[in-house]
Amino acid sequence: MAAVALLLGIALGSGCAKSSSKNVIVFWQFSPLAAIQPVLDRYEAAHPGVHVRVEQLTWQSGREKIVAAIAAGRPPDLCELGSTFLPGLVADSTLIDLTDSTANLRSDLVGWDVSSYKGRVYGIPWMLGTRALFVNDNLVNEAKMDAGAPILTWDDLRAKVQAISERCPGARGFGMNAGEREILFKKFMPFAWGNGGNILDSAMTRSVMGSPQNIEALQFYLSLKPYSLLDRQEMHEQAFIKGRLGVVISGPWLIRKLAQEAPKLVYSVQLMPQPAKNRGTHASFAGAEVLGIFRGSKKKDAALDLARFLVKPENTMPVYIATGNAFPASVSVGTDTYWDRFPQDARFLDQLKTAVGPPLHPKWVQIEEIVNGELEEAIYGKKTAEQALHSADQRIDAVLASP
Amino acid sequence: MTARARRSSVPVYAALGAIALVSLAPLLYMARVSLGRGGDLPVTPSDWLAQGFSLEHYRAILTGGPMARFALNSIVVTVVAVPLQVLFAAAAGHALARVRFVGRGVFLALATAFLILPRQVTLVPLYLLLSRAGLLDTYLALILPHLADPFGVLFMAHYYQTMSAELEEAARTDGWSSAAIFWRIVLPLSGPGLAVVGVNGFLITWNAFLHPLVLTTSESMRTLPVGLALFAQSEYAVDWGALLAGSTLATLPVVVAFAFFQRQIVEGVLKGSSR
Amino acid sequence: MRRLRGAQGLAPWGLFFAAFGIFPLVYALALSFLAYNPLRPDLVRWVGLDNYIRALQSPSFWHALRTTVIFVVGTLPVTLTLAYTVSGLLASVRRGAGFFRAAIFFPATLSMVVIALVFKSLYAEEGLLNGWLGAMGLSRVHWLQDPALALPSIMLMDIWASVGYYAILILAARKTLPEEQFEAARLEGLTRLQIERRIVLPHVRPVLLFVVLLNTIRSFQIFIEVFVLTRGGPLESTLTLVYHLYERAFYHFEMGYASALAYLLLLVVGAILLVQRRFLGGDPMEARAR
Repeated sequence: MAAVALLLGIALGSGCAKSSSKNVIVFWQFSPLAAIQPVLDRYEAAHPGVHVRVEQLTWQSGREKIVAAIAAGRPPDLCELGSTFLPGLVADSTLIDLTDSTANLRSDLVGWDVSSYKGRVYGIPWMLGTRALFVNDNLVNEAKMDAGAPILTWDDLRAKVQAISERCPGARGFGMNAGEREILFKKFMPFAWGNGGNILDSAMTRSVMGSPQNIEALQFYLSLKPYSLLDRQEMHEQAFIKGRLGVVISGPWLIRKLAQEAPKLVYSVQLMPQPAKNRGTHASFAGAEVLGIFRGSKKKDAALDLARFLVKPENTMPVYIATGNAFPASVSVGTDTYWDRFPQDARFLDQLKTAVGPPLHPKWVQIEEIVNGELEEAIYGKKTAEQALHSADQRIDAVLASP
Repeated sequence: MTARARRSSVPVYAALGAIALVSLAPLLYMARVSLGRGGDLPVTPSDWLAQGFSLEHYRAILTGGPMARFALNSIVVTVVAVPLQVLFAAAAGHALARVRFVGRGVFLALATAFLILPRQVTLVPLYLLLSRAGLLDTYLALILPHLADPFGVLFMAHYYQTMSAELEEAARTDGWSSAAIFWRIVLPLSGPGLAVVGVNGFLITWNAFLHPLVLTTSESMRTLPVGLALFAQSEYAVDWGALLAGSTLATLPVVVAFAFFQRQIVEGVLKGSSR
Repeated sequence: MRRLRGAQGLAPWGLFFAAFGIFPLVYALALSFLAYNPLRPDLVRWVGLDNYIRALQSPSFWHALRTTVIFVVGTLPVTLTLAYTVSGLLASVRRGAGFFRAAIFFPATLSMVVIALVFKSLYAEEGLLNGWLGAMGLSRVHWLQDPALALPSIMLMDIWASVGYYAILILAARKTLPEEQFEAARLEGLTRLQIERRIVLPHVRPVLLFVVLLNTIRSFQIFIEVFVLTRGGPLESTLTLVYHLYERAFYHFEMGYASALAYLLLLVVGAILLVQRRFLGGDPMEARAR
C-alpha cells in the first residue's frame, strides 16, 4: 500500500513538475485547428517539455489582432504572415532578421524573394498558393462549345464565357468580383502580368500601372463584363457549385467544396489564359505564407526550431490536403504522390510556375488600396481603363514620393 | 376619448394593421427561415412548402461553431455589467439628487453632454488605454466601459428628485449613516426606477457593437452581435440558415425583455424627451 | 447647502465615468494633435493642427461627410412624417392600441446587427424582394451591389427600424394634450385635419423638433449597417463618417488622424445642437442616442 502510494506520488509529482517546466511556444496561424493540431502533436512528441499553444486567426481580423498584440507588447512567438502583410511589418522593424539563421534552408524552400526585404530575410517561406480557372464542362457543352479544348488564350475565354451567357438559361459565363474591393487586384492583375505588365517597376520606385500592356489587359477584362456575374467571391463559388456559373477564378479549396456539395458537377481546373497563342504567359496571382518571429518574443530559438519543423513538406502537406489553401513552399513538393492521385490539385502546382506576387514594398497597403479603388471604378464604368490606370499611376507615385 | 374612440374607423385599423405587419414581418421571416430546412432562401410558394420544420440550423451553429461562445460572452458581460450599472446609477443618482455638493452642476452638465456626444470619440483612446494595460480582448474590456454610462445616473437623479425625502431626513435625524439610509430606505423604494434603468441598460449592453468590435480581437472573446456580424462576412456569408438562426438567438432575450418590461423600455425612451 | 456627507454614493459611477468617459475624451483630443501609429510608439510626434488640416483637405473625408449628410437628409423627412402619421393613427384607436403600439415599437429594441442581417437576406440576389419583382415580371435589382442603390437600400432599412421609436415619442406628447381642447374644437365644428393642424401640431412641436435633433445625431453616427452590409462600398457609395474613422484607425492605424476625425464629428454634432438650442431655446435635453 505504502509502495503504491509512493509510486503514485512520484508519478504525479514528476507529471506536475513537467507541466510547470514546459517550454510554451505561442504560435498564431490561419489554418483550422483540426488541420494543424496533428502536426503540432508530432512536434511535441519529438520535443518533450515543449508545448505549442496554437491560435487560429481569421483572414478578416488576423491583421488587426497581430497589430494589437505587437502594440500591447505581447506578440506571439511564431506567427504565420501573409506575403501582402509582410512589407509593412518589416518596415516597422517588428520582425527579426533571419538571414543567417536560415541560411541552411535556402536550397530547400522556394519563395525567399517574397519574404525578403532589401536583401535581408524576415520570414521563412511556409506555403505558396495560387488561383486558376474552374470551368463547368457541362455548361460549356450546353453552350455548344468544346469542353475538351482547354481555354488557352484570352479570346478562348471570352468566346466560352459569352457562349455560356447567351445560350445557357439561368447561367452566367464569368465571375467578376464586385462589392469587395480588397481582392480585385488578385483577380485582374494576372491578366496584366500575363501580358507583361506590372504594378511597380523593378526598382520599385515608380508606378507602371498605366502601361500599354496593363491597359490592354484591363480592356480585355472589362469586355467580359456583359457576360459576367458581378458579385462577391462567396456568391461566385456558390453559383459555380450550383451549376449557374461557367468560369470562376478560385483556389484549391473550391475543389474540396465541390467534392462535398456538388460531387456530380463535371468541371475542370485550367491554367489562367495567356493573351494570345504565342504571346505572354499564363500568369496568376501568387500568395505566400511565411513564418515570422517578432522582436518582442522571448522564445526566439524555440520558435525558430518549430518553424524549421513546420516547413518540412511532410508536415505541411497534410495541412494543404485538409484545407486546400496553399501547398508547401518546398523545392521537392512536386515529388509527393498526392499529385498523381489528384490531378485537379496538381494543376495548381503547374500554375504556380507562372504565378506572380505583389511587390514587396513597405507601402504596399496603400498601393493595394489605390489599385483596388481604381479597378473598382473601371468595373463600375465610372472610368475607362486608361483613365483608371493613369489615375492609379499618379496616386501611387504620390504615395511613393511621400516620406 | 370616448367620442373619438367611436369614430375609429375601419381604414384606421386597416392602416395600423398594415403598419404592424410591416414592423413584424421581417422578424417573423427571420424566425421562420431559421426553423426551415436547407440553405436557400424561400421565395416561391413551393419554396415555402419545402421549408418544413427543422432545427438543423440551430444545431449546426450551437454545436459546430463559435456561436455558443459568442452567446456565453454576451451573457457574462450583461449579467455582470447591468446589475453594477443599476447599483451605481442609484447611488450616484441619489447623491446628485439629494446633496448639493461642490461640483454637482459640473457633474450633471458633463453627464448630460456625454449622453449626447457621439460615443465614437472614446473609441480610439479606450483601445489604446486598454491595450497598454493588457486588458484588450478580456471580459473587463467589455464590461468596464459600460459602467461609465450616464443615462442611468441621470434617470435616477430625476427619479429621486420627484421622490419625497421625508423618510431619509427622518432617518438622518435618527442618526442613521448615509450607507444605511441608502441601502435600507432608498433602494427598496427605487423599484420602478431601477427597473427602467436595468432594462434599458440590458438592451444597450446586449446590443452593443462598436466598442466590443474594437476592444476584442480573438474569436473566443467576441460578443453575440459582433460575432454574428463577422460570421456573416466569413465563408458563411451565404449560409442563410445559420445567419438567421444566429440572429434569432440574439433576439430572443430582447423579446423576453420586451414582453415583460415593455412599459419600462418605453419609459426610458420617454424620459429622454421630457424636460 | 454645501454638504458633502451623503455624496459618497457618487464615487463608484463617478470613478468609472472619469476613467472611461472623461479621460478618454480628453485623451482623444490630445491624440488628435499627434501622429500616432500603435505599432511604432517610438515614432510618435506632435503635429499640431496637421491632422485637422489633412482631414479638411481630404477628398475621402468630404466624401464621407457628403454621404452621411445625404443619408441624414434622405431619412429624416420620411421618418418624421411616417412617425407623426403613425402616432396619429395610434392615438385614434382605443381597442387593440396596446398590441399595435407593441408591434410598431418592437423593432426599436433590436440590435442593428440583427436588423442588418435580416435585410441582407431580403435584399439578396435570390432573396424575397427580388423574388417578388421576378413574379411581377420585373428584373432583379442589385439592392446592395449597385452603387446607386446601396445607400438608399440602407436608408430604407433605417427608416423601418426607427419609425416606431419616434412614433411612440410623439404619441406620448399627443397624450398630454387635454381632452377638453378636443371637445371644444369639435364643438366648434373643426374637421379632423384642422384639429390636427391647429391644435395637435403646435402642442407636439417641441417633441417633433426633438425627434429631428435625435434622429439627426443618430444618423450622423451610423456604422453597424455599413459594416455588416457593404463595408463602405460599392464604390464607396456607403462610406459614412464613422466608418471612415474606423477604417483609418483600425486598418491604417492612424490613431491620431482618426481622433481628429472624431473631434470633427463632435463639432458637427455640436453645431447641430446649437442650432436646436436657438429653435427651442431650452437646456440641452437628456437625448437618448441609440
